[in-house]
Amino acid sequence: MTNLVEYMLAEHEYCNDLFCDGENLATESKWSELKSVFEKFVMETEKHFAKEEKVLFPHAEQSMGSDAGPTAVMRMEHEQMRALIGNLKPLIEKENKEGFLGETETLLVLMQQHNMKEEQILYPMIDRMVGANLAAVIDAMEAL
Amino acid sequence: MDQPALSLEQTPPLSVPLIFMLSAPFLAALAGITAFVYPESFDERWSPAMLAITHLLTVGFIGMVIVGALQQLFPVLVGVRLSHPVFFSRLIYGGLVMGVLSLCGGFLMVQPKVIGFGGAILGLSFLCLLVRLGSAVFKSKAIANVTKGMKLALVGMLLTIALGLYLAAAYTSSDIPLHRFMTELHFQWGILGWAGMLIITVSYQVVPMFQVTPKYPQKMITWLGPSIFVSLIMITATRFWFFLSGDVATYEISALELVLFCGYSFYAIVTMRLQLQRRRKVPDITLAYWRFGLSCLLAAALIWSLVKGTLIDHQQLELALGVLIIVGFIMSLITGMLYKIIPFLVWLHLTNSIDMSARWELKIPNMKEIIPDRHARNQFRLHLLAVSLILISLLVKWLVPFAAGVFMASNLYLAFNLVRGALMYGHTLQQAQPA
Ligand SMILES: [Fe+2]
Repeated sequence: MTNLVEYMLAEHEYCNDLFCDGENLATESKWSELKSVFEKFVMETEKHFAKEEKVLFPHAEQSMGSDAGPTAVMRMEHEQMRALIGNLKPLIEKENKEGFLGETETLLVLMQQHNMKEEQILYPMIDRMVGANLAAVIDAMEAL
Repeated sequence: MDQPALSLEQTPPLSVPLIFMLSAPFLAALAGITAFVYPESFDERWSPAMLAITHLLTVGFIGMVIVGALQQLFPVLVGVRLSHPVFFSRLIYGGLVMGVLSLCGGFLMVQPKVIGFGGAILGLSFLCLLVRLGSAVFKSKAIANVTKGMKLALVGMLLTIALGLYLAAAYTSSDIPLHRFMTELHFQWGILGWAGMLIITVSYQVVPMFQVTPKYPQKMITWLGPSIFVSLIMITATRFWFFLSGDVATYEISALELVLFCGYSFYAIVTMRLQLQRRRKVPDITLAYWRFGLSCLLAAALIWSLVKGTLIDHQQLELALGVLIIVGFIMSLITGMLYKIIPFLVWLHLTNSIDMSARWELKIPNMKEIIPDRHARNQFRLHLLAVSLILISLLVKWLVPFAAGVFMASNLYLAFNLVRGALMYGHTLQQAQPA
């Protein structure tokens, strides 16, 4: 049976790989290839966010009886990441390498410290809350 | 159900970490000025001026940044909130600055009372921090990898403080004997048992995450920290044992130090290997600083084996060892991290406060607009030059003031980069809310 932390960790790693591929292509000024990698990155990231926002976090919020705690911070950081990702698109269009790499540097640090908090603290906590319901939760995420 | 103390939202105010991190390069520059004014301090490892320089670098730079970073990162790394962050940070900051300046001033003016006063203030400030962090880390429910290394580092911190307080008392009062071996222990615990241990522990998180490399091997995470810690404990016990029995323990100590240096070399090699496997190919100033710092650590291990393996004049080689470890290894890694931490914190606090007011459409400057790469690169080059010149000046004496000047310039450049980045915070806020 899959473990929740590992399931989510694999998603983080996949998104990281796409992110790095995009950045590497930008350093080499391969803009047309970058466009498709970037689109994939945006899609996968949104899919991952949706799994958390629509399935995982509500689950935690229900168990805690509040939606003000740690999940609220995670949701806010998702919005911050969305805003940074939004900045990237016009920079690709303008083929602005310096601007693009400046925004991605910021996105990388934001994204990684976010992932770190989820992996170290939040996921293990939700894992304990979910308990025997794990399979159902993963199914719900897969169904999105 | 036991609720882990969750404090993901506990980002302390920007000023809490910043006052420490922005002061650090100025205190390091002060060390450069001291070496410039007292070039003869390089002749003798334990000369008062050398002790002043060493403390300006270790407490003034390394300690300051670590204290600032711990207050910022602790809530995230171990998931425990620290109460009254602003009050305590100001208190500890005042204590550290007053303590280190009195201590170093006391050394330079050869004023035992001032040395004792500075040492006591420093010790108390660090103890205050230690109690806060210690109680938090033992309450933490975060995964053991982080907290275990943190606990070892905190014990290292405690022993460094205890030895330092004893030494300060011995300087002040003629009734308390001053033992050289305790100075050595104070140094080893501070550098390798506390600062180095923290760096290794933080690397396990920071390198895979922010340099996008594979993870450190789990066996290494389990065994390396404890091995280093145990060998330091044994070195301490052996030194005390031989001191009490009146013998000289050259070989025993060397054998134990070999474990210590093998451990640190292993850390350097594994980290450099992980960095070679990194997915991210973008040129990165932090990575450049880390590679240089880890190379210095390996060079230090090599010099250590030279010192122990041969019986040639040790004095200059031992000084080189200290320079490579403090300035080459630890200061480089810390500076590399500062170039990530400060721009990110400025960006984060801007994002949080401008989101809230949300009055104007305003582009928040990204990390590379907060500290431009060009300036960070040039400062890195100056740092390389400074370390090289300091090493050469150990042999070519007349170069000492020159090396000291370049080191000072490099730290003032670092201060310029960091302060300018921090000022961008107020600047951007002003633009967002015109009067
Ligand atoms: Fe997330």
